Amino acid sequence: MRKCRIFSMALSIILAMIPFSGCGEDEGYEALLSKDDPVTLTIWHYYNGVQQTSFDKMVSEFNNTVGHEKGILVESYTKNNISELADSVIASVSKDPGADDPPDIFGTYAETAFTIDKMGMLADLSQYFTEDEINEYIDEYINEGRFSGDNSIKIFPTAKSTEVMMLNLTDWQKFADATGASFDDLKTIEGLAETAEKYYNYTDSLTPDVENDGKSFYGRDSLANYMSIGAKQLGAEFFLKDENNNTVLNIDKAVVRRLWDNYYVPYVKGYYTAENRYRSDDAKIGSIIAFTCSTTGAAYYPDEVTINDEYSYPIENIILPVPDFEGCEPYIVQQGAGMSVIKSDQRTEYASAVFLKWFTEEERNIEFSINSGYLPVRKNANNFEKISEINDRMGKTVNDTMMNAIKTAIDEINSCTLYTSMPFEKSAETRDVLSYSMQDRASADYAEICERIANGEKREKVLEEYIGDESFESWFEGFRTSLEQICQK
Amino acid sequence: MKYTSHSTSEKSGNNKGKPFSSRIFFPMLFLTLIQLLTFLTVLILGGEFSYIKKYAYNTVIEKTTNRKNYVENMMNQKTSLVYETAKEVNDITNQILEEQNLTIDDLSLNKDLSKRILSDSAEPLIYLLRRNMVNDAFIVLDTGELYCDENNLKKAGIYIRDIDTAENSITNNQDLFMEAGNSEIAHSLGIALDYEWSLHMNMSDNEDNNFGFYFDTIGTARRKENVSAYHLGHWTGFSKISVSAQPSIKYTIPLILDDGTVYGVIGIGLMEKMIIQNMPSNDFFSESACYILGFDENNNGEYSIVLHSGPVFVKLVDSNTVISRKNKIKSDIYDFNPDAKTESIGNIQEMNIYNSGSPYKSQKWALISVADKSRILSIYTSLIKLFVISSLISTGFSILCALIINWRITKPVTVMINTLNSRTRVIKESGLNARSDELVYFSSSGIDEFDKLSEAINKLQNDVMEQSSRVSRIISMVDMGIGVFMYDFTSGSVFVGESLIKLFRPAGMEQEDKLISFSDFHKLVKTIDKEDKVCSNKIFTDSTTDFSGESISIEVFYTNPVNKTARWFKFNMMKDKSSVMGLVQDITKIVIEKKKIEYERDYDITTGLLNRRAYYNKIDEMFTNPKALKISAFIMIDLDNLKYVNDTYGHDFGDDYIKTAANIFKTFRDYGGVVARMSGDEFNVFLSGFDSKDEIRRIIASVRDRLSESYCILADGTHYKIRASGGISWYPDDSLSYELLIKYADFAMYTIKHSTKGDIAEFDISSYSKDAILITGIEEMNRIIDEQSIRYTFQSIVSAKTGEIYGYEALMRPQSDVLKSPLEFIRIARTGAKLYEIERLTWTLSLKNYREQIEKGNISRKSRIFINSLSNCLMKKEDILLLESENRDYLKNVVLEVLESDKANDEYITAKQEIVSRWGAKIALDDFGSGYNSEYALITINPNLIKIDRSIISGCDRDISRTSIISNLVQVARTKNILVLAEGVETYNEMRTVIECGVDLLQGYYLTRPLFEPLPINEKIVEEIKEINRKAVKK
Repeated sequence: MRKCRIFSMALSIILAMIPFSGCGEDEGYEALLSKDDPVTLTIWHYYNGVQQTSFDKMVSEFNNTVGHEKGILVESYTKNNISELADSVIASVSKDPGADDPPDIFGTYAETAFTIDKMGMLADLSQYFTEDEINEYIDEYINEGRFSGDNSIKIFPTAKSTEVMMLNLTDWQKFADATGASFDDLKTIEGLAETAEKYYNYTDSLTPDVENDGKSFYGRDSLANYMSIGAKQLGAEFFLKDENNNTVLNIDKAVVRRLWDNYYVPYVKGYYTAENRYRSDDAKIGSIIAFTCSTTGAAYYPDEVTINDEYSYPIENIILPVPDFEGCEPYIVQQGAGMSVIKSDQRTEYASAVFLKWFTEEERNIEFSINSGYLPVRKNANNFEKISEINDRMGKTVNDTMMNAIKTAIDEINSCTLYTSMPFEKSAETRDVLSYSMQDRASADYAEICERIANGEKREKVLEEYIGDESFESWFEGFRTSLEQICQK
Repeated sequence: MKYTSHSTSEKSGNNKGKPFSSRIFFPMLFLTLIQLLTFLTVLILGGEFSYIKKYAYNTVIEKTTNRKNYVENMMNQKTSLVYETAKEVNDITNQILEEQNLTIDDLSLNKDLSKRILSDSAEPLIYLLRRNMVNDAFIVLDTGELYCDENNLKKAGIYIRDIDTAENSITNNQDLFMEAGNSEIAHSLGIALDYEWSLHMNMSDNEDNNFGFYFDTIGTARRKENVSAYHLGHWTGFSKISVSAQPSIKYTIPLILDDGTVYGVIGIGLMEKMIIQNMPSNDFFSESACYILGFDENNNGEYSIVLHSGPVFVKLVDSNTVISRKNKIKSDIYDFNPDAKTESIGNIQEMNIYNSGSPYKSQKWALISVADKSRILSIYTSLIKLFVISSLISTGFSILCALIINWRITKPVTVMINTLNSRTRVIKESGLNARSDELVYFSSSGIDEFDKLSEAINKLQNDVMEQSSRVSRIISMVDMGIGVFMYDFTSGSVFVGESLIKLFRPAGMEQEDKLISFSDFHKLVKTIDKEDKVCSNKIFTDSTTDFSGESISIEVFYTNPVNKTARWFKFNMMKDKSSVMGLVQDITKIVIEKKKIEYERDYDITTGLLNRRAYYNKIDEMFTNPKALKISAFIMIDLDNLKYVNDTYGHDFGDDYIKTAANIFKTFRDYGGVVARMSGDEFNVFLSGFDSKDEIRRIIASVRDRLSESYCILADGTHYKIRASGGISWYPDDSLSYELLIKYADFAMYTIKHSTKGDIAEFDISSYSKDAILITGIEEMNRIIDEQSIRYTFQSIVSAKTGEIYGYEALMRPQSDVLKSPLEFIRIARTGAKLYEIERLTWTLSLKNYREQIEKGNISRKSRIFINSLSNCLMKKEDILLLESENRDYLKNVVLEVLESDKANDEYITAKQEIVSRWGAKIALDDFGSGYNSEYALITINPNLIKIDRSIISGCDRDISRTSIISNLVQVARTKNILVLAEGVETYNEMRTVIECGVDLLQGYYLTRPLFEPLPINEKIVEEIKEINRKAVKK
């Protein structure tokens, strides 16, 4: 009788210890997996093009190696872009009619993760990693996933990116030679605008017989980044937390005006443009020679400019840091979604963690970086020498532009403050406003202006209408209203 | 017991029962084997095993077929729209050619034409991409060498890619990439340029036949002029259009104008991921197989691998693997790698992606499954293993079950049998300590029926036991020394009741019911039956003879060797077919009681010698065999001075005196003498069987010597010598009759007693004849006095006037055959100095009888009682006090008769008168007129009443002198106020005379006789008395 009791006590203690010991050493969780009965993990990501190809390649490699060994089968699906991905995830988790089953892992920005977590659907990944493992990742990236305040990790960093500025060195050289423009001019946004004006005038002057055929110098992929980083640099973030940890809208008109003046105004003047899908596309056909884009766009940086059927020429690129507002703190964007795991069972969650761990192993992380333009998430991996070493080992499959972009980005990270706008429920919507409000206005107005000029109106005259206060006010009201409406919803 | 033992022995004799094992175990085993065999037969005959194997293969085939259908459907679906789009493009081309008035040949001359066609076709192409959900959509126009430079073969084209077909961007073409084509088209459609975007299709990198989709298609189309474009659709394996682009398999249709001019191709591309979706790697259990998209371009039966799914491919397919139908295993299952360690088997499902008119018909596309044979058949093999194992287990289990059931069922029965057997064995082994009341308890078997059976047996046992133990218990409870047993001939065992064991009290044997063997029983009985009377009895030994109902009773005497106590047992046994029932009674008490009674009857308590009666019996018995008597002697001994001792020291010392003497007389026993105490101080000894009188005399002398030396110590410490007188009579000399001999001895003794005392004399017949009566009389008188055997009759004394009863005279009647007459009794008493005794007895007994008669109602309370007192005797004071206390109510009724014949003793008379006057009683002068000094007596005594002697009354009617005496007496009496009573009135005349003489009271036979129970006076006599008185008055 007594022996029995002691035995059962001992047994229950042992049983109770199993999950704890599993925490530390994986063995407990490892037992959940079975090669013969693989866990199928669905990953929804927003990668496209090169990133998607790289990612799929990784997934396939995982499935054929570790996944095959451990009994994890990963299926990845792209949702084209981050907002579509967010919508899909929210729809699926909310079990909206017609929505897909929720994925096991999904790429996400903080705001979406925040929303999903509020629905209680996010797994805490900290239990599947040891502290030492966690410490190998860049703290800011990890901290981004610790938004729920209980030391849990809800977003796991897989790949990060920031922005760099690419310059068509071949064409720049001609321009610089002619005008005396220097790289230093490109250090500030204001300087950039001035340089763009110079370039417009310079190109316009190349064909004296044709009026107003100056070429745009610069384009920007992400207006949202411009807006929020700009606002941050100018000292007036759009969203602040009040004492109750509620997000409050903070629109500083002067700051917005400065943002307007340094993008809208050069844009409608034709100094900046955004014609094609990406600015790299614009650069490929010679529409611009400089652009700010994510490091992930580096693969698309042209090494040739194709003017038309007849004319194309190779170019050299240089990757420059993103210009800052003059006299402001150098903030650079930290972007790139992490991966969140939907709360399910330990087996699936653990399998997800295994994949994420595998995916972010140092060399693999670097390999993915090199292929995709993303930046590694591990402290040790954010080392250009190591990256280039691996690139050498991989047989230098990527071009120099990519490597340069990575190098510049790493330099930026080391010299600037990484900034990412604070997530809240409406982040995605507000981001859309930041992305499109000024860009759409600028695109539309520029088209209008071009049309009006084509119709014979005087360029300067026409422009005045658009660059004046009135124009700003009318836009600003709309902009503010949009944001306010979103935040009040 | 009898029943069961009979029946079981019969059964076991006649019916050779089979053990449970053969009844249960073997049938169960047989059943199991049959079951197994049936199962196996059904499986084999039903082809279950081969079916399972076939099923395993069929699963592969089925899955492959299914997947083939998926892939085939997918591919076929994708193709249909291509033809439509091709027609559309043809229309666009025709329109442009018409508009611009160009011919198709201008394609290789006019860049604008191709630009225009591609630009206009872009939208339908995107539509095709979207609608068809394909990865690639492209048009390549045969622009000849228009776009070629020195190094590169370039054609105008547009190539759009959608990596994820499932996700269509809602608003725009954000998810699309332009791989090749005019950037303006991309711009206008909002399509991004892919990283290896090129303005034209650079077809120079044609390693791996990357552009086969174009060249083959366009070539075939041109060769088969008359074949419709619809039939010229062509699937090509993975190809890519730029160095690092993702490959896709492509379906290409030639663009043919109505005149048959082939001017380009339109096609779609499917990327690996899309196809693999339709042939997933996890289709097979635990990834035991993978799919291969195979392409048999040369139609030689060997498929090249276009695409494969699943990591397991690496294991299953190596350089030696040849995917063909050469090595057929079963139906549609082929071995692809017969020599390799892991047998890669699989199924090849050809896809029907070309219609019959297609020139590519010979190019076989197939979906092939490759599987690890051992894993595919794992179910089959493990099933066989399982079957074998489970068969073994189930057989083993069945055997075990059968054994268990057998054991479970047999066990209770075996236990029951063993219990019963051990019971019998225990009886045999433990012998006398076996218990018979120990029920054979059967522990619960766990089987209801058996439990019920054992319960029934237990109940039966209980009932039997209870009944027998109830009897046994009752018997032992009663504790009347009864024991029971029952011997069962058939089992040879004996049931011995607790009572019997209690009775026998054998050493080391528990007192409880037992069942023991006969030999043990024999031993048990022998402990008390030393002579072995019981067990050797034929009632036990002779089992054959039918003694039915016969009963035998044997008495056994047993002396406990330890404490020498004697016990008697009585065995009552009754035989009954096969058993003997026995009842043993401890009759010790009865025997002892009987002996005691006999002893008390035969022996004198004080002395332990035979009493008179027993003595006579003994003598009587001895005299039945006179020869043995030879010369014998009766010795009568009478202790001297006993009376003195008694009177002086009390009876206790008298008893001591007697005992001391008796103990000496007991010495005669040593010589074979019979010694008896005849009465108080009389002893009698009979010595017999001697050869001479002298022998006897010597013995007597020795005893006499001892007697003379003996004494007893009295209260005052004096050593009082025992003295006795004795008489001897000889047999056969004096008489042959012992009665006489005893009488003679008695006489001889009395003779001595009356002479010398303290000696023993021999009988002398001559002196006997002289003194016999006297001697006998005294003896008798003593006896009468000792035993108070005197009764008093009552004779009425009637009033001479009224005839009423005045009183009764108590008349002594000694109860003796010898001394019947009171007068003689008194005479002897006088000689024996026993007068006082007579006086005392007369007073006490007459009054006692008087009271009795009053109580009976025979005597009136007022009637007087006339008691004859001896005049020379005076009652002792204490005797008078006792008398007074006993007769307080009747003292005044007493009339004391004083005998006139005795010499008057004034002192005595005076004392008596005092007593009488104290009592208020009367005194009567008896026998008045018969003596010599009647008148003197009348004066001195001064009686209240005189009784005229019968000598005067008798004949007074005829003798005048008597009449005158009476008359004178009456007159004298009247003067002295004395009542006159006429005694002995025997006739009417006498009565009349005395009445006439004036007597007051009448007594006599005429009136009443003396009666023990007095009767009233006859009415007739009363009338006569009254008549006489009337007549007398008249006179």
